[in-house]
Amino acid sequence: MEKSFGIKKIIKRIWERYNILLGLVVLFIFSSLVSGAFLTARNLLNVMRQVSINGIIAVGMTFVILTAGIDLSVGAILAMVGCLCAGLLKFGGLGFLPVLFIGLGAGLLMGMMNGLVITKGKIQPFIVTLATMTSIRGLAFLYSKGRPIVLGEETPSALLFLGEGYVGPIPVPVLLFLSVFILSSFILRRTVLGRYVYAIGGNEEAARLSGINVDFFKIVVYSLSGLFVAVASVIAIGRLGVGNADLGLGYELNAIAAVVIGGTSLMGGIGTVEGTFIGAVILGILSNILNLLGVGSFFQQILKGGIIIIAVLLSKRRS
Amino acid sequence: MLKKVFLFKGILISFFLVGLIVFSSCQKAEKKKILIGFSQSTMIDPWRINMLEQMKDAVKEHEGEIDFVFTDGQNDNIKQISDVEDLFSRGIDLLIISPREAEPLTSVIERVFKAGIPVITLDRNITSDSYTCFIGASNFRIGEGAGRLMTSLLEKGGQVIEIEGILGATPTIDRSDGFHSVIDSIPGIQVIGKQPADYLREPALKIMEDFLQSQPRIDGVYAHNDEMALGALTALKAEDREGVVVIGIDGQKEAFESIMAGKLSATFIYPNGSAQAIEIALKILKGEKVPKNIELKSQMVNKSNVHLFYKPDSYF
Repeated sequence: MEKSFGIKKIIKRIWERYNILLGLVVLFIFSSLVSGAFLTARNLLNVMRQVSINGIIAVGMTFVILTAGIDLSVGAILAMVGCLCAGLLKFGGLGFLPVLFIGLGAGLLMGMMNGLVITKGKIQPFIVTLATMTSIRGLAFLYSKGRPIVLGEETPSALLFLGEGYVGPIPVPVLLFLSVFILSSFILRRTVLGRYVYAIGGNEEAARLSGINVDFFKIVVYSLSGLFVAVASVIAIGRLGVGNADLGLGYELNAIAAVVIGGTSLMGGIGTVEGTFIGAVILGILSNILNLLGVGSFFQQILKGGIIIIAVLLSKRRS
Repeated sequence: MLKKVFLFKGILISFFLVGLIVFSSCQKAEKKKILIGFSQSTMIDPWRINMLEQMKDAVKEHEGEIDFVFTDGQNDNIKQISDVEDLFSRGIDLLIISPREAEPLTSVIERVFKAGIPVITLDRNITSDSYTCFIGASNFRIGEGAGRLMTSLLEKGGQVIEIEGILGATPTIDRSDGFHSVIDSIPGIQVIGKQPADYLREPALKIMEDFLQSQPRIDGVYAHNDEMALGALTALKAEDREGVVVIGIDGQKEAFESIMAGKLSATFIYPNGSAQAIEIALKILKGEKVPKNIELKSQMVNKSNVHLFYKPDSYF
């Protein structure tokens, strides 16, 4: 009796820990079985590249959600940084490297602004980022005069490399996604910042009482989210050859979906970037396999919603 | 308790997987037929849904020859790029695509084209010549037509409101530029207000209400599509402003009805070319030569000729 109880417990623990990964494995095997086109190196690399932009944004979003916050402005920041970089390259006469740093800096700054208003103004993150989502989108339209800033042939080769290039067989956006992911995993597991992020999300009041500078670390987290979005934005304009103010409409929801599927709790304190990584890949494979099977687009949206609910049910610990 | 939860989850997942299998088996293609993939840029817009529906009708006429799959770019360039990659992975014989925007989609279309898959670009073209055939109407020319019509209907000059589509989108830019290329050189006519309503009726209604509050005199409204023109008409009617010239674009059924009722002044049919695309696709796959560019003619519709175009049972 006792023994079987122990095994049950172990199985339960493995299930709790790895159910998202199991979900991915099941989806992967299933996809390979139903479509001959799925399990080819080129298709899988395509899927990973398709996942990269959302994946990078979602990793940043994970930090924010771990502190029990939310960042709705990511899609707008994506557009603003894209327009800014394209504009500076096209009309500013700047070289690629300065533009890259200005772009990343702008993303960081916009994130920092979110963090400052949230902490110093003591306003809920949902409201602050809802407001900045609208304002930053407006700013992007204003900056681009509502027209796409077309780089076309003028796209610097380095930017093209970041969006479309390969290192060996691996697309560069995938490498950037992996780098951002590994860096974030390291931060969350091995650094003070990581520990404090979990502490703040777990119980903000307790974290404050134990001497953590909660406001400071929250600002850092929102800045990080802005910075990661800027990285995604550089990839996006490298791929598209255009900076457009309508870039990334609704991307905040895709990123939140990846985070939630990955098992991170919207209440904060619980979750990992590994989960988010898998969540983003699941969304990518799902979209790919449904396209490969020729499932109509309206059904696809219904199914995606269904997957989110199922994933959350699976990852719910201890009912 | 735990067991029950597990059971529930298990049932849920099985349902999902069974559903997927059913879907996939429904969609299974027989090897002999040609597989045509259509990448639509968005399905929010009734005009684009109509494009797809008419294409499906055209496919039905060749049921024995063609298998047809389509994807929905959900109004997002990056999503549409992924769609094209997925269609390519699926092994389509020919790609029909209505790109959401020219520049961003060019590179992926080039890749498909260079891999030997013929490409028909529909409604909007790409920036390189890596396509087999482009079918579309000129938004710029339609804008010019609307400009000329406005000029002739406002003989004594007047003040005009322009309701724009989605900011930054190519058709918006072309419909606006074409209109202004005519109207800006006419001294008596001024565009006194310009606001985007995203090709949707309800925002257009609100914008028009605001203009009616702020502008004592409005003689003409140029809307970038019929939906918005109809929205503007609703606002005009509520304020009892009569004799305002309202011009739309697209030629949807409701616009024709409005013309017949004497409300909408005119519209320009914006043809979607989907039936032509299927015909051209078959020709290409049979090895026949096709022209590189096919410009679809637009047609101005007003009270004098509306009966020729009105079909009560059309989708759109």
